[in-house]
Amino acid sequence: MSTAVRRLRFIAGYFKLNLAMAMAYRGSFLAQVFFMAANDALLLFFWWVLFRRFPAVAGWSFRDMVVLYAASATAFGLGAAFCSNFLGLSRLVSEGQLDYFLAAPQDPFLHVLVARGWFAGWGDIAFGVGAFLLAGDGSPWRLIVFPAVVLCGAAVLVSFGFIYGSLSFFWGRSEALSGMAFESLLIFSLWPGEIFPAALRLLFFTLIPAGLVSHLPVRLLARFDWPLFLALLAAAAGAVCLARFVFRAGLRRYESGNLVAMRD
Amino acid sequence: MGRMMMWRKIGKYVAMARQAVRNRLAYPREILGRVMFLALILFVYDRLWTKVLGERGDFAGFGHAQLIWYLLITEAATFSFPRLQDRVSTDVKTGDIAYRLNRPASYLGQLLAEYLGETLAGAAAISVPGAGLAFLLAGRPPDLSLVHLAPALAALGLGTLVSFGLTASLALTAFWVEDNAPFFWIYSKINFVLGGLFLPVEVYPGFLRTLAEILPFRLIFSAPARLAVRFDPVLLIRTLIAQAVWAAYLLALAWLIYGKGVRKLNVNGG
Repeated sequence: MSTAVRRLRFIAGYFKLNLAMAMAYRGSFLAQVFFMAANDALLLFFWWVLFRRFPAVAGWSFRDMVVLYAASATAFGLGAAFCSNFLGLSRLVSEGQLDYFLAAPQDPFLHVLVARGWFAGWGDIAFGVGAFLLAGDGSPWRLIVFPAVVLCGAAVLVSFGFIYGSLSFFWGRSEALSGMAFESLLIFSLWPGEIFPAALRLLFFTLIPAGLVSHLPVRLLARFDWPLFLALLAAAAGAVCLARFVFRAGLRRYESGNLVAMRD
Repeated sequence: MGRMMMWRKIGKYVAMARQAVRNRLAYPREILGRVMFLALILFVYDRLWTKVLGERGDFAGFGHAQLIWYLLITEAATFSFPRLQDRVSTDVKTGDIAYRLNRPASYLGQLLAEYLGETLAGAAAISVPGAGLAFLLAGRPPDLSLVHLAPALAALGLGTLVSFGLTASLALTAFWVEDNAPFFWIYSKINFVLGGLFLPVEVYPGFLRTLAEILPFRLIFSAPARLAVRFDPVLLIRTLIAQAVWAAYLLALAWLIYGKGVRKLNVNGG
């Protein structure tokens, strides 16, 4: 069996396991999904009030904002539901909890990436897909483009979560810094890029790639453009490679720890 | 003699509040993280209002600087309030409540003293750098002066009592149910919308504005912040009266829930 097929089966195995865990606590799972979806919908309340008074903000309408939230929430939800370790990698590193993954025969990057899922991520996915269907024009082309662009957004989000979390390998305890960096990425991905100065927009395609997570996907959903889509695809693949490179470089400096911890 | 007894009684709660102030200020990293987060939020909203309102525009009478300072005050209040639910829930789950009930001070009184102390420390720690940031971004709002700030601070103080009454009433449900976290999730969302965390409730459309004005949540956030950035003596009097009435009602409710709950309580652990 080729390495690629083995890895795909390994990923599929973990995904199945995460789904089975979610289904084992069905009541709690459904409550978390409902609350998270309602939480996301309420975040749009501010924009709803604003757009009642101002028909357009930097060229954006309320419908555009709903699509922006749909793309961001679905990208985050996909990452959280299947690869939620990107949210807490910094803590895993500084508490020496990577030992389990290092002892396993799989590639540690891939293993840490897919080892855990967060149920509430399904709530983000439910909100995102629902909001997109409600706000969109329902054309079949957009229905094909949406999954493709949000998967790219999810890849960028998870990769940068890993890159920020990997700072702990180099700088010791840096949960606050990596948390702040990730929070900035999430916040900026929920705002129209056009309201920010041009210099900052450069950051949105480099250090805080909110442009790749949601701004560009929304632009592609409004008007599809093959070269732009291929650029997004390449950027997402590049982000994953960069995350793997930084993680592996950091792993060489990993010092484990004497904290006795159960893998939860 | 009676007066001395009363001062001694109050003195122990003041000592608890002072301890809570020290506890809150003992984690400067947490405060720094929160200030950075506040800076990010203020920056993003500053960009939005600059784009939407331009140089001299307004949103239902609120200009750029007013909206930024409004946000600073509501965000500072949100940060300052301690998570009372975690305290009560931990006390019940770990059995620590048995020790807290045995102290020669009322449990609810202890919670109130700690709540006020932590709120005061949190507000002071975040307001000073926050005000500097708001000033850098938006300048001083035209109405903000010491004369107007003093009554707004009084409204924030009374709003803190309203907030305590609401959160204590909800937190004490831990005496009956093991996990009351969902109540607080809903409570935080109600505050977001009906408390006016990002916008003064006056700019809301008709029915939502009416609903927000009937309920007590805006008295914690929206009303004091609105008074600070756009002073109105009639609104001040109406706010202070509404806050006093709601605070008295909610504190009595919390007391009632506590009285009923403490008889039902099953203490675990130890």
